[in-house]
Amino acid sequence: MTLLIPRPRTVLVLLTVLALSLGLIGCSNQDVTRPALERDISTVYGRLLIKRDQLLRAPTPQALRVEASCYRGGPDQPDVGPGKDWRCDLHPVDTTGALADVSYLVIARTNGCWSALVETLAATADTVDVATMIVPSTGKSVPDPLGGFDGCLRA
Amino acid sequence: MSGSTSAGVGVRTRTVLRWELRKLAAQRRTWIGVGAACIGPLVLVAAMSLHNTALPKDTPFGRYIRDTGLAGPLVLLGFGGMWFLPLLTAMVTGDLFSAEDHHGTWKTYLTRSVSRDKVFVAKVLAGALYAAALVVLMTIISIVGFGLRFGFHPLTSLSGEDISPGRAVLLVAGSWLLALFPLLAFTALALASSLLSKNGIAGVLTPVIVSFLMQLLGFLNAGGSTLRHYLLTSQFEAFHGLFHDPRYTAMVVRVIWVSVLYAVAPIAVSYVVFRRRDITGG
Repeated sequence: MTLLIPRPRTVLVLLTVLALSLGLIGCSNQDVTRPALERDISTVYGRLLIKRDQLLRAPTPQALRVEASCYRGGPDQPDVGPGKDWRCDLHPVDTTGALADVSYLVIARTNGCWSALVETLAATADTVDVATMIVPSTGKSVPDPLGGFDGCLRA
Repeated sequence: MSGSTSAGVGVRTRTVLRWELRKLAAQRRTWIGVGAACIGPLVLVAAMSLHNTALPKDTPFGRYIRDTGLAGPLVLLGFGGMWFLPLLTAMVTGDLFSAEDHHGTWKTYLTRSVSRDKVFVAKVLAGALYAAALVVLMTIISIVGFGLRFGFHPLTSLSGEDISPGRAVLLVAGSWLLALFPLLAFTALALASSLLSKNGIAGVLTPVIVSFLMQLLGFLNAGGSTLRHYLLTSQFEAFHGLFHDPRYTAMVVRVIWVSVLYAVAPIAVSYVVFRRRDITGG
C-alpha cells in the first residue's frame, strides 16, 4: 500500500488557505449595526414624512430632525446583526416642537437591507398588503409612504 | 498535437467568432435561453397584475411594484438575478468547449488554418456576447413590460426620496448593466468547467452549484459581512448602492473588481490547458 504524503509546498498552501478562511470568519463584522440602522431609518423616515405631508397637502415640517432608537428583542440579544426582531422608536422634531412619536418593527437582512412596518399595522400585516390613506382634496385612497418602507445600509 | 500552431494567420478572430455565433444560433438551447429571458419578466408582470398576489415585500422595491413600472425590473433583478441569469447563461456557455469534444471536432477545427488562440478568444467572446444579449433582453423587456402595465411613475429610492421616471429608467438600466459583471464571471466559470471536464453537464451545473453554495454562505451569514461582500452572488445586489443618497459608490466599484478577479482565474487556467491539450484523438 502506498502512503500518500503531501509535499511541503502543498501543505503550506493548504495551511495558508485555512488560516485566511479562519481569519475571515474570525473577523466577522456585521453590516447591520445599531448606529447604522438608526442613521438610515431616521433619514428615510424624515424624507417620507415630508412626502406624505405633500401628498396630503398638509404643511410640511420645517428643519425636520428625526431621532431614532433601535434595538433587538430580548435582554441577551446584542443590538447587531440581521434578524426579524429589530424595533426602532422614532422621535421627529421640527421648528414647532416634537411631532408624534412612532415605532416600527424592522426586519434586517444579511445583505444589509431592511424593511420597516409601522407597529400599529403589525397585527394586520398578513392580511393588509399596503397601508393606505385618503387624500382629502381628491377623496382618493393612496399608499401611505409611512405604513412600511425599505432601506439598505452601506454593505 | 499540442501547443499553438503557426497556421491561422489568414483567418481573423472576427471570422472565428462569426462561426461560433452561427453555431450558437443553430442550437435549440440557445433559443430556449433567449425565450426564457423574454418570457421570465412577462410572467412576473402577469403575476403581479393579479390582485390576490401578495407583494414581494421581502425584496427592496417589492412594495412599490404596483405603484410604478420601474420597481418591477429591480425586483426581478434582486429576486431572480443570482439564480436565473447564471442558469440561463451556463445552459449555453457550459457546453461551448465540451461540445467539440463530444462531437470529436477539435482536430477538424484546429487544422482549418485557425490558431488555438483565436479559437479560444472566439469561444470566450461568444459566451460573453450571449450573456450580454440575455441581460440586454431582460432589461428592455422588463422595463417596457412593467412600464406599460403599471406606468412610468416616480420611484421611491432606498433613502426615501422620489426619483423622476427618466432618471429611474437610466438607473434601472445601469443596475442591469452592473449585473453583467458577475454574470460574465459565472460565464467564465461555465466555460472553464466545460473545457476542463470535457463534459457539457459539468459545464452547465458547476456555475449553478457554485451560485447555490455562495447564496447559502451569504444567507447563513457565515463569515459575517466581510466574506459576504466578496461572494460573487452578492455582487448582483450591488445595484442597491445606486438607489441611495448619498450613493454607495464603493459597492458599485467593488462589483467590477471582484467580478474581474473571479473571471480571470478560470479563464487563465482554461487558456493554459487549452494551449497544451492533445487533440489528436479528435
